[in-house]
Amino acid sequence: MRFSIHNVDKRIQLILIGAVVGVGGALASVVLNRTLELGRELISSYKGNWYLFLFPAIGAVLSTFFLIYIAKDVGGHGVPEVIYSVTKRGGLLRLRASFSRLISCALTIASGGSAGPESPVVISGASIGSNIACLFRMRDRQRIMLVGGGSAAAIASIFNAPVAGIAFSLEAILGEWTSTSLITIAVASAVGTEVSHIFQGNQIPFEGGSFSISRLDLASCLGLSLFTCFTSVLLMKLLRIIRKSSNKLISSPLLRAGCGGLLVGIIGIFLPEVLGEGYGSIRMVIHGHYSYGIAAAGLIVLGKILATCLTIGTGGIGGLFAPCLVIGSFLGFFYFKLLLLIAPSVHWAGEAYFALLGMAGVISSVLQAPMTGIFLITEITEGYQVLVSVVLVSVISVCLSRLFEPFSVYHQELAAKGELLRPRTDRRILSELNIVELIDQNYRPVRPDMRLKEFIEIIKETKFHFFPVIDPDDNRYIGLIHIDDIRAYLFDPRLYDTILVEELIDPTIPTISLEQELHEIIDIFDYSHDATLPVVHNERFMGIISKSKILDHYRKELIVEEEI
Amino acid sequence: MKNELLHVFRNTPFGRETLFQSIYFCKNAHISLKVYIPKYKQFLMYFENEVITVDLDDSYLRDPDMAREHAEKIIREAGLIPNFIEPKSYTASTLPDIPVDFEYMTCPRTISNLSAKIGLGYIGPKVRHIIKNSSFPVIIPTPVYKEWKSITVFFGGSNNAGKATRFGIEISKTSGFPIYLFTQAEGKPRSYYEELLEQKGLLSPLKELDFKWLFFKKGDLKNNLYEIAHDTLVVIGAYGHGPIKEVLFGSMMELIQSYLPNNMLIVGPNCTVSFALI
Amino acid sequence: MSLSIKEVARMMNLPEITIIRWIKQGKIPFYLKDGRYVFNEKQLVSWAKMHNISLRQRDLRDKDDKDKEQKITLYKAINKGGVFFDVGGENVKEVLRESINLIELPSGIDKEELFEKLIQREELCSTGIGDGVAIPHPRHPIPNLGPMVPVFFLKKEIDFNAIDGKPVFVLFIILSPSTNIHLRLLSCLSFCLRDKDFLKFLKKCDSKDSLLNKIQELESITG
Repeated sequence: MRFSIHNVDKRIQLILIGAVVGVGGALASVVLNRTLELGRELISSYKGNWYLFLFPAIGAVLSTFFLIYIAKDVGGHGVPEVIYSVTKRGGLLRLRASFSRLISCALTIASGGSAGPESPVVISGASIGSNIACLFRMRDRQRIMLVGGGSAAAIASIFNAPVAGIAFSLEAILGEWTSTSLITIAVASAVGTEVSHIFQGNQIPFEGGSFSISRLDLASCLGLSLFTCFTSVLLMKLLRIIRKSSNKLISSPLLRAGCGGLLVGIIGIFLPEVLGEGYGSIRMVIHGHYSYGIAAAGLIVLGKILATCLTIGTGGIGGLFAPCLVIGSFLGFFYFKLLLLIAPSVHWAGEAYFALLGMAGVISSVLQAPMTGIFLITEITEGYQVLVSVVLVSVISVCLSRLFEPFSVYHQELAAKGELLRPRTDRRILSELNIVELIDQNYRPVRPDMRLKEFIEIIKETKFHFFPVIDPDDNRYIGLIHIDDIRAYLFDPRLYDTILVEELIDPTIPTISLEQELHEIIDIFDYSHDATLPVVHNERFMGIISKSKILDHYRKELIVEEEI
Repeated sequence: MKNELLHVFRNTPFGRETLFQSIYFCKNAHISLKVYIPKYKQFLMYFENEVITVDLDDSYLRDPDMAREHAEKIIREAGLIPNFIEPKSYTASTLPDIPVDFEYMTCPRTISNLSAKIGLGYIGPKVRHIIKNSSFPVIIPTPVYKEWKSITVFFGGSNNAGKATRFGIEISKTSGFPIYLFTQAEGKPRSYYEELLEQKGLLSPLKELDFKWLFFKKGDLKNNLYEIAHDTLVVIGAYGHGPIKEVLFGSMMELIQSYLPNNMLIVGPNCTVSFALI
Repeated sequence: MSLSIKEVARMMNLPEITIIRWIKQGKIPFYLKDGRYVFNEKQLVSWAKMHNISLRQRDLRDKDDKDKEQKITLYKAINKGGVFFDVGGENVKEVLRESINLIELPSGIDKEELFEKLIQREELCSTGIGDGVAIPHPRHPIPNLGPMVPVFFLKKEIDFNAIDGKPVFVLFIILSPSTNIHLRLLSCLSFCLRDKDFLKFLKKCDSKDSLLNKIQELESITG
């Protein structure tokens, strides 16, 4: 099998393998959903019992236990790991990541934890894509595309929304919209959608029909954007706070998860809509079956935010996607009721309309992925009626929220570590260049006890501007002499026998180590005004690195990265 | 370029023996020692085509407060400079990435499961995984510190065996210890193997080092293995043939590692040779 | 606080015309004040942070240090170190020890350590540069010491293993906190020693003031 597929044209290869990845991603989604359904059935058999509120806590503990001790994996919802792998590791992802989190997530959500199944499915799909790429010995670039394909298939298969899947993959995961990556990802997404359709149909079906949208509705989108922006920022900030404080207060991950689950369970007693991933509640709202008032809706929004942060912040395995949709839909409902209060005589477009827009707004802001939000809603409604409204809400909401939270919830951790490396950015190019490629190993070493007289002979013989001083006994680097610094002393013959080479060393010249990152090295160059600096590793002199060579390589690297 | 050996430190008496071995190897191969003291139960190694999650058994995390002190003391007493890895990148908050640009790595027979017998015949799956994917050869030392005084390379004629021989030659040059070649001829004459060595450019360097050839035309392999010195470093290539071939024809490496108790240097299929042979 | 184009250019290590071009292209945030382009410091700092640009406040290797070095003269160094006559000793080690005992060193500098360092340097290569003059100095600069050049006229001429084989009658011990300063003092001294009249004067020199005057005369020639 291996040799035959390598003979086929590379592009067709990518399409075929992309399709396989699409199937993989879809299957991951199907498996998780089936498990969730099973779980829900199981739980519902206990309905009415007083101890039902303990279930989220039990589920959280089991989930964490499974993840840490049985699967030997680590927590986190996984999408940041995919982004990290794509930006820094050429798309390499651990195989373990593909199944361990599915099971953990099933335990978390089925027991009532407020999280979404999307992120674990994304990392599963991405991991499947990555490992298939490794199986076929593909290079970094192709592997990254397959990782993108797996992620797209995951989202596409859950929502029956192939374009949303593509948008998510390009916007959130890869960070670039290029034509070559598009093909693989599109194929994976489309295939994923179809496969999932066969098994499970649509998660958020909408047969609602048409809306009558007036100018007033469009204007009201502005108001809704403010609300979605506010809720998104609240969600992101609260998640950060709960994560940090729970890590500080409770050191045992099991106990932490249990406490989080307990609190969620308690909230769930009063607001049962906040439990679980919430697709049921979303369906209820957009079909107009939600009969509560404005206060209840507002409470649910806040309750869901709190429950989600408690579940995920204490180590629960699950994603933010579905909770954002739930929050958005109830927020839209709330806003609709608010409008009715303010202007009861206007014929507003209806709760479904605002619920959908709310979903788009919150998703766009939290994920900083407006295109994903727009396409998702468009595909759910299977029509273009709401397109203008959706664009308005998504875009305004994203722009506003960016003022408060410059990075999406997926990118925060990476940005904080300085590891968010978007393609063709300065930081990325610098991270791709390897210091070893830039070292000039042409040099003439000199001994520290050499007299200036002999040194001058060496200067005459060579064309170098720098001379490393190396201890002859143990090959240790002692210092560097730059011709510019000693020019003044070269012409007084009286000094030839009185100055030793080691007295000419400039001790202020900084040294570079092989372990330093290139952006650190460039900073050192900037500060020290030197055009060349010595590279010393384990006290051995390795060579010289020059700023001009860095520029040369930098340019070539950038050119090679460009898409034609 | 860095010229370093990676050693993952186990803060136990067993780990101490392994550290001694690494130190001895570094001194004789003229490379620097780089030690990683694990803070988490796992770490990742990103190779060219694969990322390996290395699970560490509990003994690696024993008494972490004293681990660094213990390691430093041992290294200093041996006359080397202690040099520790602080991982700069993390795939997740408890998953550090360990760099892979080393010349060698020391692995005991198992990393993930100490309760498995550390005896002949067992090489843990993680260690095998590393050997298959790494660009550096892996040293599997004897459980108790034993100094090797010569090098014996298993030469069967394959490409990987050629690579292994290159490493053997380099170590012999830097350490000054004599080098032996061991070949179990399968019906082919000595000249055939000499041709192969010549083609790979290995014959003259070997001759310069005054190598001795343990060449066996006949006899049971296991019996012939008795001729290998007890205090030699066994250098052998691994996983060079495809998985099907291995199943059908058996693997020399498997046999050696389950029969010989010597220190071993295993050269995997992705190893790159960075030194020149003059 | 507002910054001018000049200040921003310095902070980013770029010429002013580049900053002006960025203003025109909308690449850098600015505002107009009295018809001139200025920058809000807070805004600029957060803009730089977003783009990962480092704004310089100080350099690693300060130009100020280099300026300080220019002000060092041999005159000042000898004045600080002192001039001593009739210094005893039968060989290199003894005269050095005698000399060190005469110097007034700041606290924290160990005389024995200084002696060791002077001897180390002598052993590597004699500091007798000819015509009876020697310039002992420690093998590595001692921080917080100097710059000063105490001068010692010896009671008896000593064999210093000098280049020209002649015995040495005067020591100029060069003590400096860095190699740059050391080299500077050394080249000042070497310049003075090139003058044949100065050498003759040295042989007859008998007072600190006359030596300092002569040095000042010679240094004023270089300017």
